[in-house]
Amino acid sequence: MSLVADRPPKRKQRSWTAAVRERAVAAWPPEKLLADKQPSYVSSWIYVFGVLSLAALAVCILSGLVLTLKGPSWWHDTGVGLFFNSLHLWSVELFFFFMVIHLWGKFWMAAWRGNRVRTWITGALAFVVSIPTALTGYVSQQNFDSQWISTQAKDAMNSAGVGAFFNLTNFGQMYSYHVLLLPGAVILLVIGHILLVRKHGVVPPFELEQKSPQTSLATQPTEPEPGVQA
Amino acid sequence: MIFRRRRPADADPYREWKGGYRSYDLVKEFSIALGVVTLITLLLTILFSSPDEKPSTIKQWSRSDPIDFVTTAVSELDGTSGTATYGPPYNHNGSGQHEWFIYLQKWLGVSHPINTARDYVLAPLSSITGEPQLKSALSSYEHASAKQQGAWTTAYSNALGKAKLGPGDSVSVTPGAYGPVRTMMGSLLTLAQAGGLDGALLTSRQFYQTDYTEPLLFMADGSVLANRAQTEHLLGNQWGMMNETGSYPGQSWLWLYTFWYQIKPFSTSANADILVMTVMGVFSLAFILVPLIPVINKIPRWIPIYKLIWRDHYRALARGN
Amino acid sequence: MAAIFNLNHHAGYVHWHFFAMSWPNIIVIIAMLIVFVLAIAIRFPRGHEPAEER
Repeated sequence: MSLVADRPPKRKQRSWTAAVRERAVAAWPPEKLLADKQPSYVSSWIYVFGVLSLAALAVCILSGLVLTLKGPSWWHDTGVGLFFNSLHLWSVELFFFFMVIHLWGKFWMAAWRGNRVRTWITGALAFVVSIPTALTGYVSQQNFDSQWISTQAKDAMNSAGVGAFFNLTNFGQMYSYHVLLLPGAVILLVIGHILLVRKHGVVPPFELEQKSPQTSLATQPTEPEPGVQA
Repeated sequence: MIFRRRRPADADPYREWKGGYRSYDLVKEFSIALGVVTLITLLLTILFSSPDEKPSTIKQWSRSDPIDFVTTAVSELDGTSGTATYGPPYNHNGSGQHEWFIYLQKWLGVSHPINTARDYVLAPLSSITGEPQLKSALSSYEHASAKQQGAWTTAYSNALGKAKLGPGDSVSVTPGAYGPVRTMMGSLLTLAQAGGLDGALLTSRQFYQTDYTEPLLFMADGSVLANRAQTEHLLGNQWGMMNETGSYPGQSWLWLYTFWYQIKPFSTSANADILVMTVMGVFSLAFILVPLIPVINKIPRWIPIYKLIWRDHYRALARGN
Repeated sequence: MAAIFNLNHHAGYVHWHFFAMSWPNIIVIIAMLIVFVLAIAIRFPRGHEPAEER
């Protein structure tokens, strides 16, 4: 098998569309993108926390969509609005809860091994960008919490010069960042993260002894499934 | 670039899995996860709802604590308030926080100019019509020298330290040489208690407004927000960044951000914010680049929690299955 | 739509030297640690199946 299987065939491609398509299909053939097999060592509950984080993000986005339908004052004025606001808040708590456990698991697995450094980096960036995403949400609530958080956190922003163009006390700006820009960034990072996981696969276990063959799990070494393995 | 380096496969045994596979349903797994998380979210919502403490207004503040309101207003007028001396991005009356020779706050400049005397006192009072006594007081103040203005405001500030509540939520001070300041503050208090100052501070050149910077900074210069925050354990020295109003869980992921504010030198430094931002910037970068940091990237190997995670795999290897 | 449990009252706090944390936050953090340990400790149901040979 070619060690550089991800690279497209070396023939000059004049069409940009075809070139992009060939690269994408080479990196993510359908049977890898939507795989129905996984390595036998994936046998622990710790592995479900990635998809749980993703699910919590989905609930957060969906509840946020409902909140945007009626505008920012809706949830102060009606019980239904408060209900959806509560869904949004608790899904955020669950998102961070599952994401932290997911990153603990990935750290103790040293999941960056085997050319998976970018997978770690995109995941860590998603966590880091989620924090200002949540902050802009808190200051967009238009209640006492928003008043306090914005007037306090502005000092941190201003001290670093960031406050010159990112004004926490400007509701209009913060609402825009919270509803579009920052969740957009989180979603792009998560998509990148997932594509890298699909491309490189889940990291294999550490070898217990140096130079012990990794293939001794099966009685015979198996050929890698085309398009499924890293 | 490190990401593009190609290694032979046998130099990196973790690149490809050559062992066995088992069936796995990706779409079903996500669907189940979505269902489970939706149920948990619904359950938490039904059990606990969410906090929504009503915001403070200048109207409420001026009625519940008129002495604090007037004291704050005088400090805005004489340029001694927190906002007046803040520096960028509001004004040039301070250089802001810095680290060594790095003055990021100052270098990024004034992007949201606020003249506290004009914006919080003189302009709102100028908008009041039909009060010749106020108009005369304003004229008298604006035409006085800076030294005279300072003498009036200082005297009135000192008197406010011993002020009492008067009839109708007014402020009563002992007679003194306050010039027009006492009249101006009386009118400002009346305007605030009627709700007019909340609106006046939001007014700008355009009809629609979404920027609450001016009223928020004004309230933050006083005690109204801080008093509420203290009872809710939201102050900086109360680990407030992590907390939420009421008994709701807050932002536990901010534990390390707020930790630094509790210990020296951060807790006593005038540049605490930039110092903490720098420390957390370094930590965040280190977190993102963990795979590339020597020693740190070896910890999972040295502390073998992985043996628990992959115990089935290692047992199967040992059985030679 | 009122909640079943009203959390709109002051939280209890744990104080130890300069450390102060609300009980809700402590519960969340401890729950995270417990769930992490359980996720690793509890056997995954598929662990007994032999791996397919490809």
